[in-house]
Amino acid sequence: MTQIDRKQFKTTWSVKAADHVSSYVITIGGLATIVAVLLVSVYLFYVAAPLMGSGTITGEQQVQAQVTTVVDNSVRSDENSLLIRSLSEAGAITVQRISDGQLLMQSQPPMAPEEISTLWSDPLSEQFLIGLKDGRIIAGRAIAEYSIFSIRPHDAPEMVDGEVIAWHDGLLERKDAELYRYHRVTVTYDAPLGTANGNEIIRLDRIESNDGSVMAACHEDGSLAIYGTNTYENLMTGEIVVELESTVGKPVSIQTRGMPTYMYFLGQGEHIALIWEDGLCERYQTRNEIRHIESCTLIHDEVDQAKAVTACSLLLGRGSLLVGDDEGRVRVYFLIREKDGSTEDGWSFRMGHKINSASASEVINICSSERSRTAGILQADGTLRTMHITTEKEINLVTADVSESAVIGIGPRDDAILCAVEKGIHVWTVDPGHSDISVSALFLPVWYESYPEAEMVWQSSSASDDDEAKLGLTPLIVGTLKATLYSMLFAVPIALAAAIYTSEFMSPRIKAVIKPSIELMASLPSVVLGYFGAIILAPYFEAYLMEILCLTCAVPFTFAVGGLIFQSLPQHYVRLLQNYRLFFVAVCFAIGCVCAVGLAPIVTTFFFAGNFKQWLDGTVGHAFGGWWAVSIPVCCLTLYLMSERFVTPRVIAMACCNSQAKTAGMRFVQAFIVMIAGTCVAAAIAGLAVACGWDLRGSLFGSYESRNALIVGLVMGFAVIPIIYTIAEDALCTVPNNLRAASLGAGATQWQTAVRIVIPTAMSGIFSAIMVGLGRAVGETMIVLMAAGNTPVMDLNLFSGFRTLSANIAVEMPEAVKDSTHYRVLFLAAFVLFVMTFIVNTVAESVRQRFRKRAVNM
Amino acid sequence: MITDSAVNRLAAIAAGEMCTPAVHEECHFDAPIVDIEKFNLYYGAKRALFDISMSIPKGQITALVGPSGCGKSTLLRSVNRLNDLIDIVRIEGGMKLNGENIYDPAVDVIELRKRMGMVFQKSNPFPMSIFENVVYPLRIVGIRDKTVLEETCERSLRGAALWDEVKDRLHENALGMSGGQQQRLCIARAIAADPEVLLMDEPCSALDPIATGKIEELMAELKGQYTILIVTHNMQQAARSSDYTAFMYLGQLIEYGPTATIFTNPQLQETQEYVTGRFG
Repeated sequence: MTQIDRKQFKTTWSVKAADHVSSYVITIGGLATIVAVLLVSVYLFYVAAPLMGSGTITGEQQVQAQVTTVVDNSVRSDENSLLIRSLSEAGAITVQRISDGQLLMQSQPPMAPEEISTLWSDPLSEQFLIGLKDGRIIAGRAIAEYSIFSIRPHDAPEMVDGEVIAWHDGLLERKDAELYRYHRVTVTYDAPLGTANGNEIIRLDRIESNDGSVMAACHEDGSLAIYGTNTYENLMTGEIVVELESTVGKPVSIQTRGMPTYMYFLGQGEHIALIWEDGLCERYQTRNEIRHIESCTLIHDEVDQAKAVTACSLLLGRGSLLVGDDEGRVRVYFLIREKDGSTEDGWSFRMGHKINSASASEVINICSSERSRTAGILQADGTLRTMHITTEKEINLVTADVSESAVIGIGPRDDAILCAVEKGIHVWTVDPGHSDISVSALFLPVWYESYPEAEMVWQSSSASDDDEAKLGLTPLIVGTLKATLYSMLFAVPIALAAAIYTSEFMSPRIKAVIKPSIELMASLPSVVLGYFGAIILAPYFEAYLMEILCLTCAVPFTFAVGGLIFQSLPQHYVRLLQNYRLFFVAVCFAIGCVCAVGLAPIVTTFFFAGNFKQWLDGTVGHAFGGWWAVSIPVCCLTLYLMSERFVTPRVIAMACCNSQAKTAGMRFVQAFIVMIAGTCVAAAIAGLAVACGWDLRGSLFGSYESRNALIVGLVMGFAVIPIIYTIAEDALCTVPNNLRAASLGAGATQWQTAVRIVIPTAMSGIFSAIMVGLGRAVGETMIVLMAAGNTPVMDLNLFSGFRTLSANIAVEMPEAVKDSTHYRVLFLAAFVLFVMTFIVNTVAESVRQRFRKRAVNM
Repeated sequence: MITDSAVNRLAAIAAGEMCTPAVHEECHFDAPIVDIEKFNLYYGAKRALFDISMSIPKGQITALVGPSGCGKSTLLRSVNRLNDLIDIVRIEGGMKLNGENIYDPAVDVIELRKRMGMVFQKSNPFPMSIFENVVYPLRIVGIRDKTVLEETCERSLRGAALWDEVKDRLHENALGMSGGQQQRLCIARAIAADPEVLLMDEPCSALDPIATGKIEELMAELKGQYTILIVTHNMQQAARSSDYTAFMYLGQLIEYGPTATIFTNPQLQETQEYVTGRFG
C-alpha cells in the first residue's frame, strides 16, 4: 500500500469557500422567501387599509353672504371647489369665489320678484324651477363648467402656474403655460311655460324621464298637475316649440289638509309622494291619471314617535326618501314590493334605515349627494353630519352656525360640505374616503335600497349609474367554503382510500405504475379540468342527473352485497378466488351502474313526483319524498354498522356449531332486515322533518343550475385527489414495517393492521395531506371560474352555482379602476383569502404537531 | 485455526453443494411442536433455504445460530408465514404445527398467526398506550370485555416481568419506555393471546447487558409454558438460555443438537469453529 500524504487530508480553501458561500446563499434565500411572503400580505393589507378610514376635513372657508336667504338644495360648488353658487328668493343665481367670497356673477331673472310664488331646486342636478303667481313655470339651470385655452387670453394679466384670478364673470386658472381653464357658471332661463291652470303655483318638482322632462305642480286651487313637455322643432321656421301635456287630479287630502310641505317624484316619475308636516305621506300614480295608491306615516315607528317632519330629501336615483324629524332622527324609506298585495300596485313604503343622533335637536335641513348615497344632515344645535345612508356610516362631522333657514349642500364629488345661513356660506373641503365601506357592510347584512330586508350581496357593477355597488364579501366567502366543502367531500374519501389501498394492499409491481400515474394527474392544468367540467360534464349531469345520483348509492350498495357474498362463500373457495378480487369489484361496479340506470326512473316517480328538476324548483311534489330518499342510504348504513357491532357476533355465536352455509344465510337475512328497518326509520325521520316544517329544498337542495356545486365538487375533487393521495401515501409508507410485522405477527388481518396501526401512526401525514388539499381547494381559481357559474348567491344548494373569492378577483380585477373602492375591496378579498389559507395551514400544522408527538419516538 | 476439512466443507456449501446436516438424535426425544420437512424457500430465483428438516421440541427453547445472511430469520418468519407478504417468495416442502400442515392452502393464515407470538429484533411497540399494546391481540379478535382485557394485561405484563415497573402508568404512551422495557412489552404482547409457540428474532440485539439479562431470565421462566424458537447472534446467549441449538450456514442446516453438546462437543468441526468464534 502506498503511503498517503497526510497533507491531502487538509480541507482545501475551495471547500471552505464553497461552505461559506453556500451557507450565506441559503441564509439569504431562506430569509428572502419569508420576507417576500410577508411583504405580499403586508401589501395586500396596505392597499385595502384605506377602506376602513372615515372622511377627513382638509380645509374651511367662510364666504360672505350676498343674499340673505337661499332656496333649499340650491347651494352647490363646482367640481374643483373654486366656485359656489346659490339661488336667491328673487330667482337670481349668485356665483362667488370660495377662497375669498368675491362676487363673480349674479344672473338677471326674467321676472320681477313679486311675480314669483315658489322656487324649486333639484337636489340631484343643476336644474331649478320658478313657479309664478299666474300659474306659469320658468325652468332654468345653472351649470358649473370650464373651458380650456391653450394660450393666455389677450385680456388676461400675466399669471404664474397654479394662480387663479377673477376674470369676466368666472375664474381663470393657469395650470401651466399651455393650459388655462376658465371656470364659470352658465345660467339659462327658459321661456315661461303657460299651464292650463292659471292659479298660483305652490309646490313644484321635476324629473328627467326617458320621454323628456316631467314636472309636477300643486296649484293654489288644490289641484295636482303633472306636466309632460314635448319639445320639437318647427321644420318651417326652425323655431323650438315646447308643448305641455297635462294630467290633472284633485287629491282629497289637499282639499282637507291644505298644501303638502314636500312633493317628490319617485323612481322614474311613475309615482309622486306628497308629504305633510305631521308625517302623513300619500303616494299617487302619475301615469295616465293621478290616482291615490297608499298613505302612510313617516315619523312613527315601534320605538319612537316624533311630532313633525322638519326636513326631507331624496337620495340619488329617487328611490330613497329621507325624512328628518323634530327629534333629530332621519328615517329612510324605500318602495318595496310586497308579497301580500296590500297596495294596488304591489309596492309600499318601508323604513330601511333609521339614523339616530346623539342630540335630540331638530333636523333643519337634509341634502344629498349627486354621485353616491351620501346625505348631509343639519341639526338645530349646529351638528352637520355627512352620512353614507346604506351603511349608516358617519363620514364627516362639523359644527356650523345655524339659523332656521339654513341650507346645506354637498360638493359634486362629495368633496365639500356647504352650509348657507344669513351671514354667509360656510365651506368645508373634505376627503370622503371610501364612504360606502365599513367592516359591517363588508361582512354583515346591509339593507340596500328597494331590498325587502337586509341582505349580504356582492354586486360590484350594474347597468344603471343610480344603482349602488353592493360589496358584501360574505357571499364570496360562503362560495369559497362551499366549493371547498363539496370538493373535499368528494376528494378526501377517494384519495385516502386509494392511498391506503396502494400502500397496504397493492403489490409493489403494480404500485410502481399506479402511483406515478395518479401523480401525473396533478399536472393536469386546472383550466383543462374547468373546461372539461363546464363544457362536457355539465350537459351530461343535466341530462342524467338522477342516474348519477343513484349511482352514488347503488355502487356502494352492490359493493357491500358483493362483499357479503364473497365472505359467505366456503373458505377454500375464498382463498382460491382471492387473486381475482379486482375482477369481482369490476363486476360489482358494472351491476351497480345497471342498477342505477334502472333505479333512476323509479326513484324519480316514487320520491320526486316524476320530475326531479321540477321537484327541486318546488313546483311539484312534497318535502317528504326528498327527506325519505336522502335518509334511506344514511339510515341503512348506520343501522348496518350498528348491527355489525352488536348483532353479528351473536349471529355468529349462534351459528358457530352449524354449517357455514347457515351462517351465511343468517347474515343475509340480517342484512335484509336491516334494509327494511332502515327504510322505515328513514320514513320516520322524513315524517319528523316534515312535521317540523323543514324542507331540503332551500337548504341542501334547490333549483338546478347547469353549472353547480356538484360539478365543481367533482372536477375540483379531481384536481385535489392527486395531492392528497401522494402525500397520504407517502405518510403511510413511512410507517415502519416492523409495526406492520408486529401487528400481522399478532394475527391481525391486513385491514386490521391498516386501520388500527398504520393509519393512526401516519395520522399526522394524512392530516397534512388533507390540509394541503384543502389549501389548494380554497385558492383554486380556474376550475371554479369556469364551472361554478360565478353567480354570487349565498346558499348551500348542491345544485346551484356560486362565486368564490379567487374567481371574483380574477373576473373583476381587470375592470376595477385603480385605487377605487372596488379595487381596494378586491385587494381586501385577496387579503381575506390569504387569511383563510393562513388559518387553514396554521390549524393544520398545530394539529399535525400533536399527532406527530404521539409517534415521535419511532 | 480453522481446520482444512471444515474450510473445504464451507467452501463447498458456498459453491452451492448440498451438505448433509448432522442432527443429533436427542432432538427427537421430546415431542415436536413444529416439524419442518425438507423446507425450501426462494426469493424470486434466489434460493434462500435449502431442504431444511428439523423438529422443534415442545416446551423447550431452541436457538438458531449462524452468520449473517444464513437464513435463520427467514426460517423463523416461515413458521408463522410472515414471508407470505413478500410477493416474490415461493416455498417448497412442508412445515407442520402440531401435525397440521402450515402451508396447506386451506389453512387460515390469520388463525395460524394467532397461535404464535412473535418478538422482533427491534422493539416495535405500537404508538399507543402500554395497556392497548398488550391487549392488541385480543382487540383484533373483537374482545371488548374490560375485565378480560385488564386481567390479560396484568397476566402478560407479569409474565414479561414488566408489571411492577409499569402498573402505575398503563395508560401512558408505550414509546416513552426504555428500550429494554419496550422489548419486554413486545414479549408481553406476544404472550397475551396465549400462543403455542413464541418466535423471537434476535430479541436482545439492541439491548444493553442488563436488559438482555432480564429477557433471558424471562425466557427461562416462560420455558415449559411456551415453546420458544429464538434467533440469536450472541453465542453466550444461545449457550446460556437455550436447550437446543441449530447452526445454519448459507441457507443450510449444518448441525442441530442439544445446546450443551453443540457448544462443547459438536459433531462437525465447522460448528466448533463457529461457536468458539473462529469464523463468522
